[in-house]
Amino acid sequence: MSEKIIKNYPVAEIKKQPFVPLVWLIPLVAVIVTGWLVYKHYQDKGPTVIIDFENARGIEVKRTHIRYKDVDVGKVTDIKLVRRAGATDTGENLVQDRALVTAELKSFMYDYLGEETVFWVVRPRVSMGEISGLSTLFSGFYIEMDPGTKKNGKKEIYQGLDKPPKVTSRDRGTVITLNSEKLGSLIEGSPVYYHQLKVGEVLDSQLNIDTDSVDISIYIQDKYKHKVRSNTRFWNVSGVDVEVTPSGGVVAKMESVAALVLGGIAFETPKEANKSKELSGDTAFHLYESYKAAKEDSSGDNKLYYVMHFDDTLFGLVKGSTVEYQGVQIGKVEDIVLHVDNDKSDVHTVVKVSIFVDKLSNLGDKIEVEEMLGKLVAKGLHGQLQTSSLLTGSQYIALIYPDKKTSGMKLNKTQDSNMALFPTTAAASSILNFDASELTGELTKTVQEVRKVVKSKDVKQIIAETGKLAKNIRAITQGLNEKGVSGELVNLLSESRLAIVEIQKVAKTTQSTINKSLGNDSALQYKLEIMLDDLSETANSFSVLADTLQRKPNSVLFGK
Amino acid sequence: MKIQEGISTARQVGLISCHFCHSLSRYPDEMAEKSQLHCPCCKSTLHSRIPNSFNKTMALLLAAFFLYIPANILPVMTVVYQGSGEPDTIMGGVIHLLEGGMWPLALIVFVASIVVPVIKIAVLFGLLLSIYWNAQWNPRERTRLYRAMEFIGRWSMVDIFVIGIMVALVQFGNNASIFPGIGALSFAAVVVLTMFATHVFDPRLIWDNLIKRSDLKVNNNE
Repeated sequence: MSEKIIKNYPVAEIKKQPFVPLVWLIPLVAVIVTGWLVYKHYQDKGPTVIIDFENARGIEVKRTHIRYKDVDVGKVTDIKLVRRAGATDTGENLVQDRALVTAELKSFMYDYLGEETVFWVVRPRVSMGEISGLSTLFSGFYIEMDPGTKKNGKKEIYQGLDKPPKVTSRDRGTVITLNSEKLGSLIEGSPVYYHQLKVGEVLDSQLNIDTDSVDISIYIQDKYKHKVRSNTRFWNVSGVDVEVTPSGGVVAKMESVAALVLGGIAFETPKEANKSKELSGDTAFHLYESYKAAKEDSSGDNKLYYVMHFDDTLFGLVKGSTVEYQGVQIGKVEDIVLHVDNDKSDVHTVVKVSIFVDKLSNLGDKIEVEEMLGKLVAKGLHGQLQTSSLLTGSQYIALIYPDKKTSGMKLNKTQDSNMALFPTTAAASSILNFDASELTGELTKTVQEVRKVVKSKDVKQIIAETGKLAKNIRAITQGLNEKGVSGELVNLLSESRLAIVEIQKVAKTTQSTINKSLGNDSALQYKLEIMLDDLSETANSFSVLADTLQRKPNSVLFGK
Repeated sequence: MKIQEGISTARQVGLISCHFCHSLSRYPDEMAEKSQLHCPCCKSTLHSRIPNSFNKTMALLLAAFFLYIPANILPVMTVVYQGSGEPDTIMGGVIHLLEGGMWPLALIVFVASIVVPVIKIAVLFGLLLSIYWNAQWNPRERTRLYRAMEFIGRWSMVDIFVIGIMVALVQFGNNASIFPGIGALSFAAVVVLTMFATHVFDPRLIWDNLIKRSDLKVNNNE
């Protein structure tokens, strides 16, 4: 290509360059965008937590998510197995294998981690009380968390629970520890009732090694927690509570069908609110075996203890038998022991009873009640054994004023115990050990009255006059025989009229005599009637009972 | 390696071709700073080389490189299947496909989304460096490399298309749904940027290195 040809081409025109190329803005923007994206990505990362699980069942790396209130707040990034050497309470070496699950949470979760934060795996769970976590059948297991109430501090390793906690921090209920000798049929999740309304449930139970009893922790919902006060009593309502009461009869109680299956606890707070305090902090309560036990028992502070000596048989009197005053229970039998005299010459029974202070004093003042009882005893109050049920033969102690006035007694402390001796009196008649002294007394009185009547002049006069009347009648009869009926009929009729008048006279006299001695509305007559009625009724009843027993002896147990 | 005997570039002989009307014109003898050449025929701007090609390519390439980082770190899509799902990055998706036994598909995604962009960025960067350092080495092979790169470069867009189609089609609520992630946007930007970078790269720069600077009538960048 020659130079000449090239020269023929027109020369390109020259113009001003219009703008500076801004091409370098592109990488600048790219850097800014990249920086922002990466920053945001790492900011979104949030805290990394390590959770200590017993096992990693159902947990998968990257698949298992962490949720709080059903909000996805992170996921598992790693699962490791660690062997940890620890020591048991008894000092033995214990090697524990644990699954450490590392999870990455979202950035906003920093505020939700604290000392009390716990994690647990949500799996399908079927228990007696409930079915939960069914949705995980499809979505796969996930880890649920409870942030806890304390916001301070992040822990290195968080606790992973085997099962969901019954109480989470958002429930804000109260946890109460109950102390019981036996667990009964209580299980985790057993309902807690207040007025047969479910207000909480059993969380956990464990053996208390120190006291050799069972510690049961229960949870009461927040809105009902003020119902539990310092004097609240808890009792076990598991299953059916069948009881033969001392006052006769069989009582069966069941709280609910759920309680039948799951067991349950009920509680009640005595109405006297002024005597109770609000719950504060950790309070332990005693769990009574039954409603009855809970009802009867007062805490040791609110009882006065006395000792009673009885000469009567204590058959039918047991620990827990009631002490009643005019039919109202004011105490119970705490213990029955045999006491041997110092010189070993005599053995007698000692009944320890307790009097419920609450029943006798609104303020629960022990001293006040003690003084009051002292006064009552001075007036003649005695303890007496009484039979409460014919069938069971059970007895109770009644506090009565016996007829023979024995006032001026004092509540003295006995020698060998610091409990005061409560005066007693011999048992009154009961049908089993039939002491008919009262009845016999009445009968004797009646017989004496009757004898008086018989010996009285009036009665003799009646008899004499009756003899006269008989003579007259005889005379009439003789006359009739001698004179014949036809001739002397008129005479006879007039004579017999005389006789009738005589009879009327006698009858009147008799009536007045009877009225005089017995009286139309005399107490004796009335009592006699009542007594005879009662006796015949009693006899009837017994004969019926005896018949029934003869025919069906098992009817005592199974009814007719 | 030298350019074959008898072959000379238009620039060497002081000529310049119009991109629009393809008429030839001569370089002016004198040229002021910050001025442009225009075609005497159609009046459009004239360049013997793509203007500012090296810088533009470098800028776009760097932008692509930076955006490639979030494209790989951030999730490109979230597949929700039966209520549960998690965001997946590009590499995560490849691993999923492999775990699922779909290795041919995994290979395609791997090649299109990872190998191709990486090769593209690396090759272009290499070419730019070779130009920067006036490398004389194998201009023909380098040009061939450029051509191959330009050809395969467009295929990295496959991933973006797949995501676009899936997101549009798979919307069955909780049963199965696919949502795009921010990574997909970054990745699309990477692909587009590298395509632009390839476009503004002038392969003639490779050959210009073989010509002595004194022989050139005009500035390398013009």
